[in-house]
Amino acid sequence: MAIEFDNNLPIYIQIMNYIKKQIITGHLKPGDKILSVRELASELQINPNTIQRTFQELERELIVETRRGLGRYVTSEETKIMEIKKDMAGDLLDHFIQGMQELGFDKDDIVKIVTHAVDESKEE
Amino acid sequence: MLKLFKYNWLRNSTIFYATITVLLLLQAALIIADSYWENIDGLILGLSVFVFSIGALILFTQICSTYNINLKSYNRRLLPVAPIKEIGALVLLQIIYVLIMTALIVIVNLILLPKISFVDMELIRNFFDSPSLVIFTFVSGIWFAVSILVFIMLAIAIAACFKTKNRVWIGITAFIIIVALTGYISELLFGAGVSAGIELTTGEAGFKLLTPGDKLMGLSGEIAYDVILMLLALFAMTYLMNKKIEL
Amino acid sequence: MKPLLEFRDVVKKYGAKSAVDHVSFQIQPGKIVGLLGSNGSGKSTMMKMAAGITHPSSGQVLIDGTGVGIKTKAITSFMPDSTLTDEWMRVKDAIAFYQDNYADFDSSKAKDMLEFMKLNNQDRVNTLSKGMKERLQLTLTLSRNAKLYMLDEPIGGVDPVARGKILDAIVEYYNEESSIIVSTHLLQDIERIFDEVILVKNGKLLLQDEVENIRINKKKSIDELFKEVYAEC
Repeated sequence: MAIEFDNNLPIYIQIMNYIKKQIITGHLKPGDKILSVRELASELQINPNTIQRTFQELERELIVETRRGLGRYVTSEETKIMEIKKDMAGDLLDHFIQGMQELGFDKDDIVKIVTHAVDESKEE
Repeated sequence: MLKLFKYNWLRNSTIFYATITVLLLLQAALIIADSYWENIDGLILGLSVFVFSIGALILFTQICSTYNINLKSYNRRLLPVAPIKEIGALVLLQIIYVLIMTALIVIVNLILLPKISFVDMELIRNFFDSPSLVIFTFVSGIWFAVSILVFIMLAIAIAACFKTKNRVWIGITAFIIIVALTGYISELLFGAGVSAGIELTTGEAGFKLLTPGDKLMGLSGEIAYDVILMLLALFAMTYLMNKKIEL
Repeated sequence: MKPLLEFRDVVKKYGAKSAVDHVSFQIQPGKIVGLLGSNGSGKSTMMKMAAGITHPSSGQVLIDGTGVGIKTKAITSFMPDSTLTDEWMRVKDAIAFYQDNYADFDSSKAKDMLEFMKLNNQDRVNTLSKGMKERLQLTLTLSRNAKLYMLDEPIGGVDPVARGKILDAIVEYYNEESSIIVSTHLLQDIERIFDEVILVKNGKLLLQDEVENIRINKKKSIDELFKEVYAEC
């Protein structure tokens, strides 16, 4: 697991995003057990307290749950996972739209370009 | 303290074994030489004493050097031990070395002395017949060896408080001052000359244990003085090691 | 909660110069703390005072509530920028020395670490390369079950492989009752393992803060912050 970390941004948020991506893309399936604080800290060479904070946040957002005595598990709620997908996509979308608008594209142009680009990537 | 002693011993073990081996080889050579050439007895005995002295000096220097190194080495200074244990571990090493050397001297001389023409073996037997003489000699020998080590260590400790390049000279000066001062005070208290010791009396062809008759407090006074000095030196070293010597 | 390490208005003077100038701070247990500063900023001196091998000119250093002394040395494991071994020793002698003299030495931990660091018991200490020597020092220091670990520049002048192993070892042996203080001026790899950093400059304490706070509030990495602060050095 080699993640590129940006030391300018809070690490715990970066790990959170990484785990969320793993969940959305299916590398971590609903109900999967995730690595313990220690294991993850060791693998990523990151302070265990930072990992702890990550997990606490993920638990707060109900993405991860702790089963006492057993460990931490990805939520089995499909709706939750959909939510994460939409959230993360939402961020991407906002950035994209803003960027395109700065370049001078209007709404119709954006839709045309996106459709065209998606079709092209399907053929590859 | 025994753990510290173990590592002091190990640090010096190579030099110790080398010194003892060479020393014994030389003594053996001298003994053999004496069997071949009868007329250089005096020279042989002199050389034997010389070789033992050098050996003792080498070992003594090693102990002092060990103390100096230990004062400045991180792995020693980080240990959760009271300084008195560091000192004790080296004093113990000194005593062990003295005992070993004494045993070797006795063994070698048991073989060598009877061959020396001018040595009166009867005189020597008389000495060993008197237990009080033997014990006195032995104890004062050990006490002397320990005292001189402690005072040199004190001088080393004083020198170690300074970070300048010339601190060796500070140490040497300190040692000279300590010896001069203690000698002077001793003279003031107890008068000049040896007040207790062994005298070879020619009259009765034997050794006599001398004790002062009319000096201040007699022999016990001198002993008390020596003991107090030793305690003061140990106290000073402990203080310096705790508060003043830094890495 | 009782701080594990506390500096109370500590001053250390060498002649007229203050190596440590009225420094006060606290470190709680369970933290990995970076003690940052350029060379000569006072951080080594601070560690040596906590280790009990240098003494403050004034002020107090407390470890687990007790003034620095024999009791605190028994719960403090310090890795200085110099050697922790005698030249005559082999690796096994160095381990034995620690085992004999420290009640909290964990020989199974040491064995694991020696394997992990690829060190041999029979190796002579004075034939080890600089990187291997660092690994041995680290093994000795971290094989104790101490409360306070202090590592003085553990990754300077060390090859990237050893550096990785050192960071691994620090994270591996972390536990909530102890704290590890690492002094360094090389931040890129290591800033991820810190909870907090303390910045010192010219003997004075500039800043003590949680690392993520700095990233959130100042929007920069510790490495960048460091470069800014010490730009003129």
